[in-house]
Amino acid sequence: MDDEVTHRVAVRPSGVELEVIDGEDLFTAAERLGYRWPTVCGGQGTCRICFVQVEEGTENCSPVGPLEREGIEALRRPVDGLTRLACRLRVEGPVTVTKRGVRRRVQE
Amino acid sequence: MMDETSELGTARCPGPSVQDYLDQDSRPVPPALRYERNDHLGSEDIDTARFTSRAWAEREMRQVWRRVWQFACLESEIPEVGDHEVYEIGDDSLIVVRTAPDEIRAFVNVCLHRGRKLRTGGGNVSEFRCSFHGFAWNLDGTMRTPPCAWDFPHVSPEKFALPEAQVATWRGFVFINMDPYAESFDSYRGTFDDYYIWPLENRYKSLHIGKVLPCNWKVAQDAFIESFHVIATHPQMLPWLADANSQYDVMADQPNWNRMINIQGAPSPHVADSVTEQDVLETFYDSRAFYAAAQGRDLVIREGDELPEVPAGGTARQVLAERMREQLAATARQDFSKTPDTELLDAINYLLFPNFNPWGGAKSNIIYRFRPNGLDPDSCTAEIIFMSSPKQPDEIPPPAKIRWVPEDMLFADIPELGVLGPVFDQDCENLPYVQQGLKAMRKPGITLANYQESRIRHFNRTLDQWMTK
Repeated sequence: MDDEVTHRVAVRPSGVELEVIDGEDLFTAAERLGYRWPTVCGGQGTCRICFVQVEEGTENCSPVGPLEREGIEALRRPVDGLTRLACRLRVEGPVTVTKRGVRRRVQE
Repeated sequence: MMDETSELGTARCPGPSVQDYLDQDSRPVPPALRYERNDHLGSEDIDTARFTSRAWAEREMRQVWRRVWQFACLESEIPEVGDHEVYEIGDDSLIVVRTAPDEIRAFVNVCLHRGRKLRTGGGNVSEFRCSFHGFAWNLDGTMRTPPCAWDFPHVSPEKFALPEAQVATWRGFVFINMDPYAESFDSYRGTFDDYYIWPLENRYKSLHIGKVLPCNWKVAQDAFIESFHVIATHPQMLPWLADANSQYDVMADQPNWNRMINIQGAPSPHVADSVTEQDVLETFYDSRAFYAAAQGRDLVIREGDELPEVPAGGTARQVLAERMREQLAATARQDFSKTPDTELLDAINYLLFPNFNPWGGAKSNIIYRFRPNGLDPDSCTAEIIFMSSPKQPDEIPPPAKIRWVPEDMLFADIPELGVLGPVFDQDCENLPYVQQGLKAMRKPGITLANYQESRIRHFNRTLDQWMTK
């Protein structure tokens, strides 16, 4: 685990900072690190609720695949790399996104 | 008016038959092509209502399309778990999905909550989630917990599994049947496998063109299962295509498939007395001047090369077959040295009722698929699929995606279709005028040739059996 490559993703407006493992999607990283990220489908790429606005670092974002494209189009957003589904977004460097409702999961 | 033999449907075109040509083949011909049988199924007119009536089209959907095995997609189009295609026919819509590495299933493509279609196209998903309220189903059709489950105490997931259609696969193709009580696909095909002998499973889909045609799907299908029309529709082919002496195999006890063999590289009986073997050869080459060499499918003369001469006492067919072997050996990593002339030259066309219309032969195989366009009796969809051998046996390219061309675009403008493009345009030129003419006609039915149009009779007879069953 120690030598795993990670990339920092900052989430606005909460200021949460996530160390996302290379190859891991943003949604899974947030879950792993104990954060609640808005979703219904739980990361299947089908509910589109997890979408984010990319503020900085679009060049570090993975390309948009067919299912994610479908989701972004359903959101009526342009598929220009600025709207992404967190459960499909992988990063290769620092990225800043806006997503409301990202909070540390309350211990039960 | 007719003599006794034609009353019985046994009259044949004077001159050499297909089997006479196969006797002269330079290689042994497989028994599947040596088979010849034509059961006379009558000479009565076929009513026109089936082609023009909306009520007929609606009944046909219930009686036929909801109960027969039909070609839905290719296995190679859905290679990974979660890959799916949407197959639509009439008002019906099915998701054909790979649910496990060795399992393909088909589900009715509709949300059981408010009825929205779940998927509007193919792709890869790990669940089917409705875009309206978020009801979702697993790949195996079982329901996931709905959003606001507290508001649906009356919905039990067991009763909310997606309805399913039967699925069968055959040589890389996926067939579906919406009738849960239908006979198995193996039984449905009858003896078809014994006579369609080419390994489609080793080929890949190199081209897929779709177009809406302004005619009933049966008007289109009927136009592509006989060679009688060549004399008037494709007169340019007569010097090298033996049309009136084509062979039609139609079996009363095999309702779901039929066949024709059409000799090429030999003259039509209509012009045989006026063309030489060299004329046959030259016109054959001429017609292929624009054929897609990329498909490795047909003969081309390279720039600077001379046309071959037919030796004295030889036939154009022998020369053409030999040239075809040489060309294929140069472009494909397959051995064609034992391939008979007939599998290299002839048009061998099968119809597996109702919508699987493959050509046979050793080269690329063309597959046609004609289907109703929704419930509209006056339009249909026509598809042309090329199944080609991969250049390297272990490097199979991904299947070509379907390309829908606009109604006003000619097939001739699709370069990959080669010589087939303008020929297809000649066929399609007739179709809207048939559709219009069938409505203007005062006679209640169309009249068919006993032999040359026997596949049309057979096809419509099978259709009638489903309509009244």
